[in-house]
This record gives sequence, structure tokens and C-alpha cells, in this order.
Amino acid sequence: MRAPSGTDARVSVARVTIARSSGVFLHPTSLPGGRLGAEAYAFVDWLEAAGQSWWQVLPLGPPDEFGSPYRTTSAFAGWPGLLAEPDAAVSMEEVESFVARHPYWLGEWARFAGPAAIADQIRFDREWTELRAYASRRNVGIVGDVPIYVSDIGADVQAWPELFQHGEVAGAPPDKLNANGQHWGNPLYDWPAHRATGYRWWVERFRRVVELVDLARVDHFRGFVSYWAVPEGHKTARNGHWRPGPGRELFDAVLDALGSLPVIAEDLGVITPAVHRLRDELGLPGMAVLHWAFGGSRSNPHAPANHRENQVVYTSTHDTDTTVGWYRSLKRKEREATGLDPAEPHWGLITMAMESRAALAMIPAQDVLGLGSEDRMNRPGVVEGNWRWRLEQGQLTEELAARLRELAGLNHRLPR
Amino acid sequence: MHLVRSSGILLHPTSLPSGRLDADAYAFVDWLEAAGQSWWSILPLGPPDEHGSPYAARSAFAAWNGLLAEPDAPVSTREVEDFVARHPYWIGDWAAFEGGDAISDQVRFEREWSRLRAYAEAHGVRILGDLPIYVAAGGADQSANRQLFQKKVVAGAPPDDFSATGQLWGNPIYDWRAHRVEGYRWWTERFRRTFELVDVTRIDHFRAFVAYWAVPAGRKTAKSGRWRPGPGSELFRAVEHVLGPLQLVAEDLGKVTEEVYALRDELRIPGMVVMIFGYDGAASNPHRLENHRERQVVYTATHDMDTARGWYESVSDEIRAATGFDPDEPHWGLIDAAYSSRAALALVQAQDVLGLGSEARMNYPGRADGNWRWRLEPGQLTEELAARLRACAERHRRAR
Repeated sequence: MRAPSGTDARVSVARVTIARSSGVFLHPTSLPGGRLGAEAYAFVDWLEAAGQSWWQVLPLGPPDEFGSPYRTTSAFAGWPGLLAEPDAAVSMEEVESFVARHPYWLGEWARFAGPAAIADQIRFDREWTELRAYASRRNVGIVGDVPIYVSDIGADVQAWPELFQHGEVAGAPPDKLNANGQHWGNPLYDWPAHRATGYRWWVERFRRVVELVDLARVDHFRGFVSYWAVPEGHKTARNGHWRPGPGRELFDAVLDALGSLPVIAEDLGVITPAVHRLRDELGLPGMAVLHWAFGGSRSNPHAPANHRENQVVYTSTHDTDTTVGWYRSLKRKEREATGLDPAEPHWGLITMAMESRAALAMIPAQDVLGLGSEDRMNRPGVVEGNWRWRLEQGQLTEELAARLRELAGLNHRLPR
Repeated sequence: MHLVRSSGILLHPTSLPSGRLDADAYAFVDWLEAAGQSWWSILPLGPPDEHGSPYAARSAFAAWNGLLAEPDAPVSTREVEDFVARHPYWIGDWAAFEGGDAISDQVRFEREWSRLRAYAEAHGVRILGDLPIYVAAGGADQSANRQLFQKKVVAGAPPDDFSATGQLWGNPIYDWRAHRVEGYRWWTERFRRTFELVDVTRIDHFRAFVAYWAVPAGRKTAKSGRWRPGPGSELFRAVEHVLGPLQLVAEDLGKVTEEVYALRDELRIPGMVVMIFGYDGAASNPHRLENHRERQVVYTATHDMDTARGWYESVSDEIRAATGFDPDEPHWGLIDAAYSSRAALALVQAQDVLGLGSEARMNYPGRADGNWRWRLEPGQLTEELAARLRACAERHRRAR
């Protein structure tokens, strides 16, 4: 089996085991049509031809005004902007049954977004389910993404105000790259309140996640161990404090309720041993990024020598430069030290990812195409101009599929 | 809450001749108006249990489709979507629990009920609802919000003079700490829904907000229970913070403690007195007419008791003599006495206006079968009765 499996709710360990495989990262907004129409099916066909087992996407919720899917107005709803047929008819029976199948959040979303939003969710359900079934028949699973925080002006804060803290907002502490830290501004969770409800909101959130995807990356996993809280009203994140998160308890509650937790922990950045401990206790795969594999100490976790089997290795991510862009930005000495072929450094890095002992190798579509910085998905900290990159019609050729398939085959990553 | 001196009739919609919110309901409003009545008092509107008890409704939020005059009326998708958006907290859970076209039924109920209420209001009649403190075991509320209920105890009442082993009700009991942590959200939503449907609501078993009898799950009787503290005024403050002042009547009957009265008075909620309890016992018996208070609702009798005539026929000759009622129509004597009370609101069961005997009683507590069935006959509430009740209400300054 290629899909995640092997969960044991009795001992409350997720123990996500991913069969050796590879996938391509491409948010549906980056499809030529930007929607779940024929282009999405064509992409699945291409993935199959390329011997890929996974299609990784960004969060599927309604993005903010800058297009960021990490500040969605709902932690549960799908974005109607992805619909191929936004005016498709919806029947009464579908409404009754969809509401009954999504009792926790659908009403709240409708209150926030208006009654017509219900039909949009049914259309999304319809198109997404059909696409997933199509992908599944071609041995392609979907890797989703769960942003840890929600929007400050979204449906979640309005619907469950008791679950959020007042007086402090989210961010990241000062580090080498940001002297003032990062001021994200999302509302923080009131963890004692979540605890008192048996983590109901999180259970329902993960229930929704596993309804939509086969495996989900959990963004900012370290925030479950401890999180940076910035007093409201401050312009920078400098004056924050670390506060303890819910830790394992939350995941135990989700495991108890759902029986499985097919999750990848986003454990990038400066991470404490406690975060690694929680990740490993839960048996969750972490992440490694090859842009960061060169240099650093002998223990650099991104260096292939330090990769682990229960891990997902990326050439680059949506938050980093593309591989070609990164390669060009290196100093000559650094470039030489990588040993990558200057004519096509992206294929060199893709090969490294495929060769890694990490169970899953994930390649952004831009790296398959060898595109430069102008095609990167997001520049963290820059508000405008992100999330816009799109494939051109026919850009993912049969030749590229054949080359990727060959690499996957050589490295035992083809679907079984 | 401030109650204006007034009177009303207790009649659950299932006791209308048709048992539904059809022309009979409108005719009853007309009759109330003719009788100078300001209130139509009803039992809980939720879907009753298999014995017909509205106090064991399988939802604290949904209304019963069995009351619909037109259960097959067309409902549009737009109406369903709109209803969901306006009732986000509970409609999904109810739809998941009940299945089928559960939401369409709620749309139909809202339609019929709103129309009836608007009609009643135009005729000077307001609705006094009823809110059972507990929910039914195995109902939609428990399955949707398990974390809000305790796992090891169930509800009941302690042993007393009438029951050596107490009463084992078996309802799930709230985990008050969990309610507190969520800022009493469930109760806020429950009251929000309640006041969408009625103008004022009686709260059944009000005493449990102060302390409740908790019986270990699995016991056959309520004997080995324990008193545990309830949430007290905190709950009401939290709800009023969101919804504004609540229009409540506290069911404070039976043996209750001073703390219960203190909470009731602190919240300025009118309590209840019952005329048929007022003709014996100590001089301090709160049900005695002379002990009534203005912030109070006086009943001739309630749905859980015998009718006025049934009671009169069952008491000793001494009590009968002490009432001074005309033996031919003791119910009118009792109505007149209730109306004379200083209690602001006087409520009379429809059965007592009609002078019906024990056979017309609504409920025998502790008996599962044969309750909740009594119905008016068509034309039973005559113009003559309306005129006589109006005269009585006018005499005691309760007529509209």
C-alpha cells in the first residue's frame, strides 16, 4: 500500500508510514486554468505518466485578499474560487445531506459567508471528490496542508470566540534573518479552552482534513509544543513570549476520535528538542529541504547523510526560492561546492531528493521545469505579488514526465 | 423580569382539537382575546419521546414536526440554506441526528410558528414557553456535544415523603465545568433559540442550577445519589451578557433550599405558586393565597397535577369546606381565587376553565404510559366561557 497506514489508536501513536514514493507540489491555482477543471485531470494524467504517487497542494480554504491560503477565512470550507463550474445546480437533498454530514462548521460558515455559501461547498465537495477519485484510480494521493493558525477576520474566530486568546497575537521570535521577529498577527488559541472541550475544534478540523486529503502537512508544527505570543498592538514581534502549547494531548484526542492522523510535521526553522520529541513520539514524518543541505554543521538535518526514512524531502518549498533561482543566488564557491550541473541544477537536486532515504520525495512543479526566482510561489514577509505563479498550457511535457519517471524508477519510488 | 398584572391559559398545542398549528390554533388565539387573556402558556416544543413527553425531547433546539399543519408544504433550497445560516450552532447536529429532510421540517415549523405568533401578538396574546433543564439520554444534544455531559452520573431527585427511593430520571447531567470553560456557549445558544420561539419561558427544575441530585450510572433507584453544586448565577450572567435580560419564570416547586430562592430573587425571576397546594399545611405555606408575592406566577394547577375539579373531589371534607367553593363548580372558585392573588400573572389550565375531572389530567409523573394525550373537543371553549373568564379577569384587574 502506498497510502499512509499503520495507526494504532490504543497506544495513541499516529505512526505514519509512507511507502517509498515521490510526488509533485502544485497548488490548483497554479494549474493553467487555476481551477479544478480539465487541467486538473490532465495534471493527474501527467503525474501518472511521471510515475508520481502524490500531488501536494496548499491549504484549500478561501484565501485572504492577497491570495494567501495561509490566512483562510475558514479552517473548514473549500474555496469556491477553485470551482470549474461555479454555477452548477445544487438540489435540496444535497443541501440537507451536506449539512448533516458537516454539522460542526457548515452552519457557522454559512452565517459568516451567507446562505449561498452552502451551495458552493456542495459544488466544491462534488468537484473535489470526483477529482480525488480520478487521482486515486491513477494511484495518485493528495497531500494537503493545514495552517496552524486561522485568520483574525475569518469565520472561525466569529463562530468560536471562546477558543481564542485575547490580548496576544501570533508571530515568530527574532532570529538571524529577522531582527524584529515575524509579526503574523493571527489570533492565538486559548489552549485551556480547547482542552476543556476535549479538543473538539481540532478533532473536527482534522475530520475535515482527512475528508479532503490522504496526507496532510501540518504547518508550524512547533506551535503545538510552544508558541511565540506577541502583545496586541505591537508593531513588531520583538516583545513576545514563549508560551506552552497543548503538546501530545491534542493529537491523542484527535487519534481517539478519528483513529488515524495521516500527518507530516512541518518542522523547519529553529526547532527545540521538545518539538522533535513530540514529532517522534507521534511517529510523524518531518521535513528536509535540499536548498539547506549544503554547508552547516555535520549534523545539518537537511544534508542527505542525515535524512531519516520517516521523512519527506523537498528540493524547495513554496516559501523558498525555486531551485534554479536559489542556485543562481549562490556565490561561485558555494555553487561549486554543491557539485550540481550548472546547465540544469534542478535535475541534480531532484536526483538528490529521489536518492534520499526519506520515504517521500516532493518536487515543486517549478523545479521540474527548472524555472527561476520570478516563478517562486511566495516570499514570506512580502505582502503583495505572491501566490500567482501558473503553469502554461502544455508546459509539463511527456519528455519531462519520462525523465521524472526514470528517476523515480531508479530510486524505487514508482507506485506499486 | 417585570410582569404586568395579567392572566393566561395553559394549553399545549397537542391539546388543540387537531393537535396541530392549524386553524384550531388561530381559533384558540381568538378565544383567548375574547376571554381577555394576555398569555398562551405551552409545554416544550421539541420532538417528544415515544411516550409523547415533551420533557424528554430528543433535541433542546429543534421543534417537533408533529405539530405541523402542513407537513408536506413545499420548501425551497434557498429557505433551507437561509435557515442553516441563521441557526449555525445546532441545525447541522440535528440534521445529522434526525436525517431525512429534518431541515425542511424546521423551515416549515418556523414558517407556521412565526405566522401564528404574529397573529397572537396582533391579538394581544404572547407565548409563555417551557424549557426542561435536562435533555434526553441518547438525544441529539448528547451525541453532538458529549464533552458537555458527565459520564458517570445521571439525573434524578432524592428520596422524600412521596418516594422512599427517590426518582431516577436517567437524563445525562451537565459537566458544569466544561460549560463554564466554554463561557456557557451551549446555554447561550439554547436561550437564543428559546427566545426566538417564545416571549417568556418557564425553566423547569430551576433548583438544579443551584444544586442537583447526581445518581451513579447503572443504579436502579435514585437512593444513592449525592447533591452536587450547579453553576448558580454565573450561567445567567454569561447568557445575559450576550443576549440581554432573559424573560424567565422559575419552576421552584417542591422541597427546595433557601439558596434556590436566593438565586431566584437575585436574578429577579418570578417563581411559581399553585392554588391546589394552598389549602392545607402550615401558615407559612407559600401556596396559601395570603403568602403570595407580586413577582410570582400563580397556577390553579399544572400539567403535572390533577385538574382543579379532580383535586376538589379527592380532598377531605374539611379542606373542601375550608375552600368555600360552590361544589357544583369548584373550578370557578379556584380560578377566582387565583385571579384574586397578588401574583402578577395568573395561569389557568384549559381543563380548569372547562371544569374537567382527573380523566382530563395531562400527566402523571412517574407513569410512562397514557400521558400527554388530553385534547380539547371542537367548540368546547365557548363564547360563554370566554365572557365569564373575561369578567373574572376584569374583576381582578387582569383583563387586557
